[in-house]
Amino acid sequence: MAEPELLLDSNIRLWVILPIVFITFLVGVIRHYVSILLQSDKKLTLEQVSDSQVLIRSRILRENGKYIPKQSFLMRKFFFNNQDDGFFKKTKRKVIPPSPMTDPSMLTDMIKGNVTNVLPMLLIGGWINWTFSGFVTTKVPFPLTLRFKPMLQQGIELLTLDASWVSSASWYFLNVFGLRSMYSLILGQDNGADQSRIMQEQMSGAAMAMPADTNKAFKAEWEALELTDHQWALEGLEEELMSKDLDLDNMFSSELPTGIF
Amino acid sequence: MASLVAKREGPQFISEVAVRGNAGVLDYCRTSVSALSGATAGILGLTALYGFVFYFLASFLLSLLLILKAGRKWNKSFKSRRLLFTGGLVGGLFTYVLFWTFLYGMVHVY
Repeated sequence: MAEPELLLDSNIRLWVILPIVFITFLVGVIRHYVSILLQSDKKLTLEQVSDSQVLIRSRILRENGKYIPKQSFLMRKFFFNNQDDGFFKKTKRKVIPPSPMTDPSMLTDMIKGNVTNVLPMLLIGGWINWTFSGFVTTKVPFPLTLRFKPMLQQGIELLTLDASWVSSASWYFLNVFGLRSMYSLILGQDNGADQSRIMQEQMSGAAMAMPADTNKAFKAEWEALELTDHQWALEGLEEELMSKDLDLDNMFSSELPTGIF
Repeated sequence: MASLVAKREGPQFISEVAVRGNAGVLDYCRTSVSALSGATAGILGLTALYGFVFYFLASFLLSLLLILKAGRKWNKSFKSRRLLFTGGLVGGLFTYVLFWTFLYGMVHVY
């Protein structure tokens, strides 16, 4: 391959690149443990738990209603949706809308989320930019257009230097993005150091049903259940089974899951 | 890999735990392959286009091996085969570039 155009001091390698890698990685690990420590205990009342279970039960009824006889399905549907004393019609829960201001636990969650994720990245990025500035750190192996130069070469004042030679700040950001998937290797899944997952969760979390909004959830579930019809999936089963050759040996496999691995 | 379904004609019952576990295993393989291929690309001194081509080659090889491992009954462990090909490709790309840059710098620049 082509000879490198610049010869860099080995001390840069020892005292800049490796420390940045270690700093990024260790900060990620620390963030994971801090998020575990700071996890506020979610206090669930018995009522909330039973409400969510009722919703799950109704949903299962909707999805799998076609496997039980019509009578059973109607009986269950009646329990939920009856005009006067069906469960969804009868229970009204007191709803306190969980806006960030009134609900202190949500506010602290938001603050904690912001503090543990965004703030360290900005702080450390800025600090690294300040400490390790003024020299070329490394070369990225692919050619970059000139438009990337001001972004990647902050602190290096050479106009003619190839855009591939980057400063330490860009090496830091490269580390942040690259080590994200490594965290799941080392810390196991659901680790607190993976920022992208947390940001995705924050975006989709706003769309998830809030636990205090049970009335709306009940109403939605009631409507859905009203619409479900009973399609008997086992119709004509007797004729079907009788007309085929029963292959009893292969009908059931011994590989039913009993664990994860 | 965990078996997802009981062998039965008709509708399938999916165990959420198993799905997540299998996805985690795939992620693990994908990250390891990205890291190792990034390291080799850096040591070999591949630049630019060759480097990216190498990453996609390595990912494709990983997908082939996974399909081989999943065998005929891949149905039992995965919902669709496409997931074996494209799962975690971009995340792996970042890891690949990181290791590639790192070792390229170590070996060729210094």
